[in-house]
Amino acid sequence: MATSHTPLAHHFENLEQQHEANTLGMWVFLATEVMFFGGLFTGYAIYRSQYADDFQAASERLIVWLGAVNTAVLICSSLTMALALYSARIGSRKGLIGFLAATMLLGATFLGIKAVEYYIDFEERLIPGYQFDMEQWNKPGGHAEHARDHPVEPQHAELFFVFYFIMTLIHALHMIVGLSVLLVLLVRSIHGRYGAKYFTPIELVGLYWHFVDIIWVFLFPLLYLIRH
Amino acid sequence: MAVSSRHVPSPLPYFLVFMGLLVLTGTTVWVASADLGRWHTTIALTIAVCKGALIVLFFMHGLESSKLTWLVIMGSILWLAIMLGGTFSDYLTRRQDEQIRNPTAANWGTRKTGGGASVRLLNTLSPPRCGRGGSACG
Repeated sequence: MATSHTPLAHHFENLEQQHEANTLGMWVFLATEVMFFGGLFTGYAIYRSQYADDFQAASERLIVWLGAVNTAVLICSSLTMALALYSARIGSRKGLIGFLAATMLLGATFLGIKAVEYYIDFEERLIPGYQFDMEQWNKPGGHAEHARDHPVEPQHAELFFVFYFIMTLIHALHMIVGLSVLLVLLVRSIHGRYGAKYFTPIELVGLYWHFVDIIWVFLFPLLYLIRH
Repeated sequence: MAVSSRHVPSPLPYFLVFMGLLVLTGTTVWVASADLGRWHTTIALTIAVCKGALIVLFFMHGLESSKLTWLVIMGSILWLAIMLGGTFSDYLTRRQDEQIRNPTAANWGTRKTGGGASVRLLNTLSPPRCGRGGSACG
């Protein structure tokens, strides 16, 4: 396909049919991703319902405003991604390049903020299995925001952080994959490969990017906003 | 119908959806600090589902997608529901079995841990009379 002049693969009748098939294929891939993350969400839900108080105590150690800012950053990047596709469809190469670059910048910002959060977690010894501080949870005048009926079980708090790190790291990995693909799109857009007639790759990567946004939309309240 | 290059939708809905998503994000943060009793998780998840729906319908062009695409979308939701429903129908009924077997265990729904997820859910459905956790009856 890369060597041919037209983007139409030989086994499709026309570009529209190819577009339909490609889009459907991406949706099917996203369905497998739903199942992949769904397993993590299910495991999280079970343990959170089992150890609700300990998960809440652990969740209070996360910095809510950083998570909220990151949510806003991802929503912005979804908007710029949608506008990149729109620019391609109206044939604006400048718009396409600009919005793709903006999307990448916002994605990188998200990862940067996430890295800062991980560093703070590391400093506060919240990395499960690696110098996880078991003693810090029930100190008088410690991190607990309000008095609890029961002492916190440190192992259960550690379990929360196991879920927190696995889920956010896999999400971050998806962001990194997305950024890499966006880079390819950006280079090809600069070479004028996409326009009003052919924009399928922009649309497909857009679908993926919005999906990764949706995952974060669920991760944010589940991990950062536990109150009851 | 298939997406054609001739029909280009206006970008205005993108901006409206973007504003809506930001407002919902603010709402979910604000609601988390409000005193809502045991409804926090329900409200947080409802807001998240609304945000997800907005993204699917507008950013991912769910509204203009083919029926075949919708079959895939609905299929993934259905399979997710089967996984969650099947798993929770196990965990949430374990404790109930125990109560049926041993009805004399009066405080079966009030222990903090070790009681399984059902304790949590049953507490949610009908909270114990003496406060959360149940041990501080006075």
